[in-house]
Amino acid sequence: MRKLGCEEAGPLLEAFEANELDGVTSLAVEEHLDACPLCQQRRRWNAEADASLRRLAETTPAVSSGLRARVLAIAQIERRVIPARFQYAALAMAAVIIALLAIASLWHFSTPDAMAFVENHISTLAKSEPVELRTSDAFEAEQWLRARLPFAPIVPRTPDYRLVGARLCEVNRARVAFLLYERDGNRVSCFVSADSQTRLRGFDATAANRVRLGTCDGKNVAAWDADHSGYLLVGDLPRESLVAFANHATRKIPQQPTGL
Amino acid sequence: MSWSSSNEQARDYVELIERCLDPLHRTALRLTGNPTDAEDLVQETCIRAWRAWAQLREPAGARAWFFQVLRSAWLDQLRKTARRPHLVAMAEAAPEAMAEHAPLPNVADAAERRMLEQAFDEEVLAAMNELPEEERLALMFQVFGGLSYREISDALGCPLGTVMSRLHRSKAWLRAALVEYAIRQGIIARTPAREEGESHA
Ligand SMILES: [Zn+2]
Repeated sequence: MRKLGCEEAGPLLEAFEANELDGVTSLAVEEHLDACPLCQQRRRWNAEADASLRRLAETTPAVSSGLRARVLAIAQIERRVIPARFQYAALAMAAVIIALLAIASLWHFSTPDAMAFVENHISTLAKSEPVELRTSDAFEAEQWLRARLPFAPIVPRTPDYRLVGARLCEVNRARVAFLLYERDGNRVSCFVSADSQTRLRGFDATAANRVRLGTCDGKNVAAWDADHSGYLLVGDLPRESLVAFANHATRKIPQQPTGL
Repeated sequence: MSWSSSNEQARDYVELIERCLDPLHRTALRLTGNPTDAEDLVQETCIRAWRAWAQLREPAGARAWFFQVLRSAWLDQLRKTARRPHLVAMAEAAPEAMAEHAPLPNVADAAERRMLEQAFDEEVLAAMNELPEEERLALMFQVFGGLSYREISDALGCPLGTVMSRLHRSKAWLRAALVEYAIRQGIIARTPAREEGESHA
């Protein structure tokens, strides 16, 4: 076996200590170490550095329960990944879609996209606290929003969905109200804006009550106009459920007690 | 795409993230230096990993994969905040030229030893943060992520030899910081060889 000099053995020292060398090289380094006081000394200092690194690793605080819950929920919130076995077909399809989109965008590119709402829905639901105001009281949410927005959104009441709360956000350069609803563990975002959202790109069907329907990024989207506002729902629910939500929302709002 | 395949993926994701979360978080915390940024970085990493889940072919490669995603999320964040424009090669610190002949004397007293260890930990942490980003990542992935050389090479997208030299240089840098500290504190004597080669800031 060839003897190693310091200039060869030195750079291998760390890999030797980490057990990452092949048997022959490892033996050669070991032999050099036996004979070289300088490299022995380097090992000594490496051991000090390693001990420090180990202590630093051990004293790192554990993952908070909030973070753990948030990252585990990501797969539930975002059911949108293409299975590996469909990847090639998906790539080919994507190429066709990109070509079609390129053509479509020649006509369409000045119209904003419903996608912005879907993205907002996804990123908001990934937050540890998706709402700024936590309330199940639609009236309280309305008061809160009116104090903060240049228009007065009506918060939809539907018996099947529980209101979780509200937040303000900006989508397609407009300030809009974000309302979060929940039903059987499914979360639905309802955006309320001063302008209609039914003309956005991304819709491909119209249901009763003139509810526009579309699917963006795996999420179903429904938009309609009511009470001088534009409403847009995003969720993992089937389209019919979103239409049912919209039908409830566009019914006459029960009168709040006067004086409030 | 069927719901069941999506559910299977979600199950795989949860299983693998359970295994990798602690090392990812440990690494993120040392990378960012504060708990809030670390949580954001881990969350961003997991969102990106899930969105690109189909690219993960082998569950065995999941650990390296998560760290690869962590790296790209971290570098994006650095670019955005224009923090640490630290990607240039390390200055000619030449820690190899500094003779580390002087052995660290044995500190028998437990309290004294603890104080020395504490000081060493601080020196090592500071020295680690002075490393060029890719060397820092290689070292942190090894130490806090528990990655093997092969996994680091996958995560950083560089050959094994590069990992080896990055880790060697990083370790030499930490060693130099400790030696320098020991000399400053009068724990060991300055050797003639070191005086010649002294250039590290
Ligand atoms: Zn040697």
